[in-house]
Amino acid sequence: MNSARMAASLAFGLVVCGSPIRAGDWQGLVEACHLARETPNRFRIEDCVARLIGLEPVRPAFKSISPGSGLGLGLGLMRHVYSGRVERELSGSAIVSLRRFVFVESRYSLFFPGIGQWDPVTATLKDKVALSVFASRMELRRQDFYGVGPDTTRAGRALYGHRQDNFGVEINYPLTGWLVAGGTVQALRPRIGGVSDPTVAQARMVYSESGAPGILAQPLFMDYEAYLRVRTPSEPPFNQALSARYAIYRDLDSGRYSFRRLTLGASREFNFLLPMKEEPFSRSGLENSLCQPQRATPYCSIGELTVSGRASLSDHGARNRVPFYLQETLGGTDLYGRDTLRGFADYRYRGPNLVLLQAEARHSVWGPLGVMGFYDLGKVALRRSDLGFAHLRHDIGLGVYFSAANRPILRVYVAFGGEAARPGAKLANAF
Amino acid sequence: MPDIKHLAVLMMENRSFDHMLGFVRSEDYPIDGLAGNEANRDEDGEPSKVNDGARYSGDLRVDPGHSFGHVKLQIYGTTEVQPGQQPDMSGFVKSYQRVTGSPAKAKRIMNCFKPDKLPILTTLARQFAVCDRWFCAVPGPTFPNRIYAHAGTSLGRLDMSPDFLRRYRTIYEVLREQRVSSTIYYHDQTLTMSLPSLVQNQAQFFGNINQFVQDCRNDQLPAYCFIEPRYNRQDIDGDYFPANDQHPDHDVAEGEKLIKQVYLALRSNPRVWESSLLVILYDQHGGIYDHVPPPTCVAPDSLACQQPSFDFTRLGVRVPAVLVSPYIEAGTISRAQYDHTSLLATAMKLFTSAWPSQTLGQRAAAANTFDAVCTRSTARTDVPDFVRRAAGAGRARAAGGPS
Repeated sequence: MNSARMAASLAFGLVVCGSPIRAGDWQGLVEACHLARETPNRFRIEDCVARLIGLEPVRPAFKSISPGSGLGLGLGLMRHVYSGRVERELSGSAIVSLRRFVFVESRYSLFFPGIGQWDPVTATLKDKVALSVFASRMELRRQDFYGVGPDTTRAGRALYGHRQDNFGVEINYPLTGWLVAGGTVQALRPRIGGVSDPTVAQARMVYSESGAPGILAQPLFMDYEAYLRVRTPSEPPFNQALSARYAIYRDLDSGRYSFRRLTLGASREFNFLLPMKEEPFSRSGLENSLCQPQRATPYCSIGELTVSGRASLSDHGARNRVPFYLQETLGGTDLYGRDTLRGFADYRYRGPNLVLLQAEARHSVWGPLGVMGFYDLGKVALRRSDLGFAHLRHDIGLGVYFSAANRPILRVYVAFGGEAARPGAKLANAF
Repeated sequence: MPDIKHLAVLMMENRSFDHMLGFVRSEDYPIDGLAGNEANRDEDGEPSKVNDGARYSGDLRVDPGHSFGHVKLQIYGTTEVQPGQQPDMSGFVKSYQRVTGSPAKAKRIMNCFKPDKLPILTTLARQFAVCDRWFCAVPGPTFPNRIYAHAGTSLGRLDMSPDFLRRYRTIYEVLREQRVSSTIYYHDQTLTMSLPSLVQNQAQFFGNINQFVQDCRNDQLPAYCFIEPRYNRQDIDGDYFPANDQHPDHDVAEGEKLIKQVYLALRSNPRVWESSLLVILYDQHGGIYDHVPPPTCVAPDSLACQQPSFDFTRLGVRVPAVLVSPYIEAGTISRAQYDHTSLLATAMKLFTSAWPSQTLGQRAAAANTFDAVCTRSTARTDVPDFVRRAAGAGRARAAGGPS
């Protein structure tokens, strides 16, 4: 079954599973849009549009599938059913981007209180256990490849197509208010191919197996992962987090591409507070702008700093290699939507081992508008022993952000990393 | 009169008074709740009685209608209301039947909670005060009701657009002009995010729920604070935080946990507790049954809604309203009429020198205040039962015991 038929079948499945459309939501949409048509004004039109975007179970969906995909449009499915303390959710999406990248996903989840958390009188945790079964396919028509290792050049850029199917189960279990454990077991079936553009360098032509491990044949993998995560406070927004994740990738065909990976992560947000001698009402607008009064506390804030770090260490044994499409990347945004070295092109550096350190500072200037600056540094390494703090690539960026109710909702910036300046923008959900 | 330095409001979502507290009524606790024989008829005339079988979730999978048109049907029993016709609260089943298309499902609108299924809310109601005449501000949906709670008016709106970029004058600005602190603490979102006057001074007016707990502990709570629940589930790196606003069909037990959290946060610092008054309130009835007809009222201003036609001279359906303070005697029942503008009136009366005032509209100027429910001159020292159970076996009971 080719990918277009599969996407169509999955999309049809999502719609069928979502029937009958919840009468309450659909009826609310019909009523609101009927009113907007009969007596249009700004608020009624907005009400109609807001209900369309939030319609259940089927609604419009927008997503950037991967770096280089462009904006994706499609349908999303969300059918959430509550029964006592247990919640069941069927969700999914079928997205096609402007550059014909495809992403289709479906997920069935159960959410329920953990042990000792069923009685609201004695419960102490804010979150529920999440158990999911999921399946997805992504078709990424053009992905950049510069070779593997820390010393690749831009001249080595070639393109490949990447299709991947995933099917698995995952669980997330809050053990305490600050400690979460979880794991995933999934099957991955990657396929690496060419790009249907004869004018660009094809990775399969430019690179051999030694320069791009796994480029010639892609096995079926089983991936087993377990993690622990420490986060505080006990509910979002979190201002610090530590995580450790251990993954075992088993090549079920030849075994040549089996490897293990340990990923450690940490992040912390600091709010730089100064004591206020006067009440905010007694200070000038300029004073309050330079150091923002914080609620009814005797402090004002001159800004926030978020620092984060991630280290990823792969162990593949003497005879195995980590396939290039499962290696870590630095540059722009990675496959999972994480910002890495923002001053470099997407996927600029690739390797089985990685270290990345980031710092972002923000200062509110006026109301919803603030200025930001960031510094990223990191590197990839072919051997774990090469990871360290020598020869790190780094970039610096400046920009502005817009916030609502103290939450940044849009960042717009320019990053400078020793290659070309790179503009960027990132939405963070405030709604 | 006790010295109330902190007025905290926790506004939950979409549940009616009878639905949450109706069956708490008893001979020794005569709130205007349910006798058990109240009923509504469906489109075919079949009666459905109230019952105490409400579940935490699963009863109201289809969201009951609570737009103006639906509420009109609910309270009048018909959408063709004649001049002078009085509400008889007979149309709830019909309204839900129009939404669900099923007479069997429509009956669930009459499901109410057994008191022991809501141990937190029920205990606080019985151990402090319940207001059995608190009506939502508008016979309509969430956003107009919530903006009334902030600004005393919806400027003629009955829609659900989240756009509040128009200039609203809110209680937060009024208090700021009087050099009184106020904060909106929220989980995932708040409609006040789009109020330009608040967004200009975000750091001062907004905080998150973790900061509320911290501010209580550090005795840095503002004079007036408004706490908003989590309206939508949050999925952060696989951590699943469910909605705790109690909007149908969200898990009501999660909202009980939030109420407990807010109450315990205030109690965590004796200085805060002994100068606080907490209001646990609901924005509107959510389309769910209540037996008390909403009364007429003063319009906040001259702005009427043209389509649908409404002049804001009738309140919305009754909602649960529980007042918690160590200056309230256990078992207090307040029968005064309140609506959401009573929050504004009480805040201005407690914290400003400009009361009474029309600054937030005529409705707020005419609204009853609820500070008089605090009749004690000294703070109680007892701790309601659910707190003792939550502390676990073996911990000593707090001195004094419940009054």
